[in-house]
Amino acid sequence: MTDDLRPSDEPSTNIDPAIDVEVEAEALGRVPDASAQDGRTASLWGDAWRQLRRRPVFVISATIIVILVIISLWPGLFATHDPRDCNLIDSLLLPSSEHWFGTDLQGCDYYSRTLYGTRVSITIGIVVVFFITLIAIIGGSIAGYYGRAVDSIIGRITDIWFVIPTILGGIVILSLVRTRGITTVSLVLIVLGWATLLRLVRSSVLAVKANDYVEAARAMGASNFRIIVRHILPNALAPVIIVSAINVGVIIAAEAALSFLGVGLQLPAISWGLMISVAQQRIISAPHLLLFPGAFLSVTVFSFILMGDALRDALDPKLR
Amino acid sequence: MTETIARSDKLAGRPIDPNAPFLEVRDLNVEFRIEDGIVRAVNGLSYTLGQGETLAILGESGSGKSVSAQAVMGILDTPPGFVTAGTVKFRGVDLLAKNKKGTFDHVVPEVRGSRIAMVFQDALTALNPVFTVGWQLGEMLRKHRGYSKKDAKEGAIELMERVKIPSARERVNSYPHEFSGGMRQRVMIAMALSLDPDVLIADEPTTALDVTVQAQIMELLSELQAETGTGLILITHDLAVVAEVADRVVVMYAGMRMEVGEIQAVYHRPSHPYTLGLMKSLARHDMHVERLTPIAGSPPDLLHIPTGCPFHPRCPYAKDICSTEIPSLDAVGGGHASACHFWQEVQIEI
Amino acid sequence: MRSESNAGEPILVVKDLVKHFPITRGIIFKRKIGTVKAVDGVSFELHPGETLALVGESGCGKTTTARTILRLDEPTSGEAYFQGRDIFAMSRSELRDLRSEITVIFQDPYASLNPRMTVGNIIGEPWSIHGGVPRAQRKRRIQELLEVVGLNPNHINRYPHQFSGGQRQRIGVARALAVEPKIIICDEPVSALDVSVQAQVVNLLEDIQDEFGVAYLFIAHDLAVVRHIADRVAVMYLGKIVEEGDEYQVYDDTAHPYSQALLSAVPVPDPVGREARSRILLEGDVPSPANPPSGCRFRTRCWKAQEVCAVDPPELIDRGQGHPVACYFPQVEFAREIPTETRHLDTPE
Repeated sequence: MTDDLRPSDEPSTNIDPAIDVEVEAEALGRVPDASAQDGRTASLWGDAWRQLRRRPVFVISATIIVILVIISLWPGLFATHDPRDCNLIDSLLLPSSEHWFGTDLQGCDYYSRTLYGTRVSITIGIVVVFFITLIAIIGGSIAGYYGRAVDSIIGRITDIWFVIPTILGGIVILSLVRTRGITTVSLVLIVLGWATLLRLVRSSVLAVKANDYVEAARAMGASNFRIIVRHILPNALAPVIIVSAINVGVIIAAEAALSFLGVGLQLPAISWGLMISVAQQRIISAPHLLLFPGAFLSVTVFSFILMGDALRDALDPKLR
Repeated sequence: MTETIARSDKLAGRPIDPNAPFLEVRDLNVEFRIEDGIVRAVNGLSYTLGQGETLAILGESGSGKSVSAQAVMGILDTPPGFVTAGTVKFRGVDLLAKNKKGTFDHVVPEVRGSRIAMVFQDALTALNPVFTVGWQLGEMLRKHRGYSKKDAKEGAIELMERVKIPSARERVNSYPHEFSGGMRQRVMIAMALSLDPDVLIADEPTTALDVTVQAQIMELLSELQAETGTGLILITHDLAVVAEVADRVVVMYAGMRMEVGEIQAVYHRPSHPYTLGLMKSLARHDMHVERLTPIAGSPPDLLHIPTGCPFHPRCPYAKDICSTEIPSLDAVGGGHASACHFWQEVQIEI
Repeated sequence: MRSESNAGEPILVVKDLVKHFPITRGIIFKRKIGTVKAVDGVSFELHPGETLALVGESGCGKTTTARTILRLDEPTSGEAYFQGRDIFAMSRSELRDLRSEITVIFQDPYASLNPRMTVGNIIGEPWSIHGGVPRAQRKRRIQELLEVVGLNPNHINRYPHQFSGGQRQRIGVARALAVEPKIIICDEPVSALDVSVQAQVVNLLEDIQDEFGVAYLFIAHDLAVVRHIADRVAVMYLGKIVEEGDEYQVYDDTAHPYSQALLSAVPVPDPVGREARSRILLEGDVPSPANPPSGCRFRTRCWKAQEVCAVDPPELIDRGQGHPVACYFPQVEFAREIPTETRHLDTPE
């Protein structure tokens, strides 16, 4: 074919004069296509990625998140002290060259503690959102795809779950549990948090299901599994990705809130929420106790929300 | 009927010229400025419309036909759409004025609805679903003519009867979704005609309708037009509908005029390869056709309109000059003109 | 169009097909409050290599008929046989095999292709489901198919959004053709395309039929395209076939009042004679398929309706016109003017 020998940015104006136009007419319109770039992926994901890369919002939030994840995996690389190596003599020191963030009530290096707190937050954030998303995708696809009775049942269960407010429910459940580690808190957050996302997946699946290409797959004899996995989910997931990114921030904030209220993680766990809780009483005399975990918490949550925004800009217009 | 209010001979403070055509569009250029570049949607469109006349703007998707109507009405989405050149005159009154940025704004909003009205393709999305049909019809009368609520309701019923909606009195309180497609279209026509406009622009008014309903609606439009002397601009891609109702036709492609003229002249002596190609590619229900002759290729990407004549990549008559020089509209005779370098070669008798 | 179809054993036989949709109300437990009688007793035969068109306006049941034959919707009653095998008695795996013998081309070129799959994967998907082409040969076969439908074989890894509407429809044709079906159901394949492109796709479908001998069940509302491409035409109204025959019988010797009204409503792309052209204008709207008139369904809008029409629905049989008509008072109108000039629209060299 002579078409593809032409460089990709040449306008698609002239049909190769060597092709007899009568023959061309008979060949039923083999017109070179100007919009495609040979050699570059033109998939919707590829396009979205290229768009994302260019946006400062994405670059900034992605950088922050990557740094936070690295800190959470290897906090020892960045910490100056062992966060549990506490000396009562050094209690409540203000920031100095030795203790960059000062020390807390027990005389532990606050900078190192704050860094270690990242681990808890990021872990809970990502793990909880991972499982919520998994449950939502499975439940939402089944409800949206199969409809009728299955949809009604799942829908009613979801409705009941909606009634329970997240923080309040968390408080009630967690206050009944004696020992609360990361697993317990994560589990509670998962249990409380899947309903909204499931609804979203379901409506996204319903919207995608209405497209002819789904019907075409059915008419082709595709199994339900194939249709869901190959046709529906790839097209339904965009809004889910966006919301999940934001949800990481939301869950991190939720854990901090629960720990702050005293029903989340317990000592000796290192959590920003716990640190802030203790810091409350000494705001005037030792403001650094509130400042640093507060700042880290804010920046962390904010960066995930920003990430969600950036994803929305890149994924949304491509998807309809 | 809604009283024919004595029309003042001023529009927005400017005098109406009784001898001027109802609508005169000259060298209209509209472009869309989007992230990927500039889309030249309309490129040098000109036409006139007289009283009681039916002008058809014939074109496929991307021809610019709908965008040009939006620019005339002043409902163009700005940004990203901008009128970059041209004049639009309603009975001698200029509707466009140049602004500081070099583009043109539509400066006579009073003309919308009361002098120039528009009917759209999909009545279901053009009508507000949360208000009754009677309320929407009445709103035109209340807002523009100062009718009371009671009079507006009576006026709405009259309008519905005028467009032959059965049981108008009972159905005036129904919602748009409770009507069938054809009935909804009648409601839209009723709304368009409620203020006795001089010009009615119908943008693909029957494309979404069944063929028997289409016939009813086109018949209705003809009758109403004969009654009121309204000028009708019919925007469509359907050559057959154009042949049935139009007095004159403008064939558009990639924002430019390809061929213009009276309906008989254009249909029986097509003088442009595009017009000819469209006709040859049609199947017919009233005669046997052995093989269709399509137009090769696809409608152009408006971000990259071909140089020279925009149709040349698909044209069986194209020669070298066609890719370099934009053809001007050459007179074929008697108001019939073709924008083709070789129209004499192309023209055939049918 | 083709004047000979392979007569002989029909490959698709449909008898008294009925599809009713229940209208339900209720949130948890749905109560049936009515039925939409979308298809109400449709019978026809399709022969190998032939094109049978189901024509009618919206709500006539033509699309539902096709879907029900394929069991995309389960039938309420009736029979359908493919090559003698009872479609409605097939097991799930037999049904899946059927879907490689009867394939579908859809109307909307923008919605019928998965935007996240490459064109090659879209066309090759039937093989992933049904087998038949080993992985190693797939690329070549796909490229062959792309050529057959007039697309550039090097575009195999492009995505649908990089193609125009007409090109996407060709991709749909290639996909339908991939498993070498005996029948392709064409559901309004050109309605959503630009006029200048419609003829390309129509010609493509004809060429494919000539080359591969596929039969088409062609569903459309565009009467001109149908006349051109179909060997036989069945006119549908409110779930029933009212008239059936070949192009000349249905279009020139039209006998059923609805068909006559329908054909007279189609505009003619010729301004000459438009004043004189008589048009039968039907009053009002199509009755609701949930509440169709008793007896002959068309009687509420028919100018010939008499008492007998309200009692028993007329059968679809030949009443002397030479083709089946479902009317008690069919009459071929000879008043149609035959255009004296055929079209002289040949491109000069």
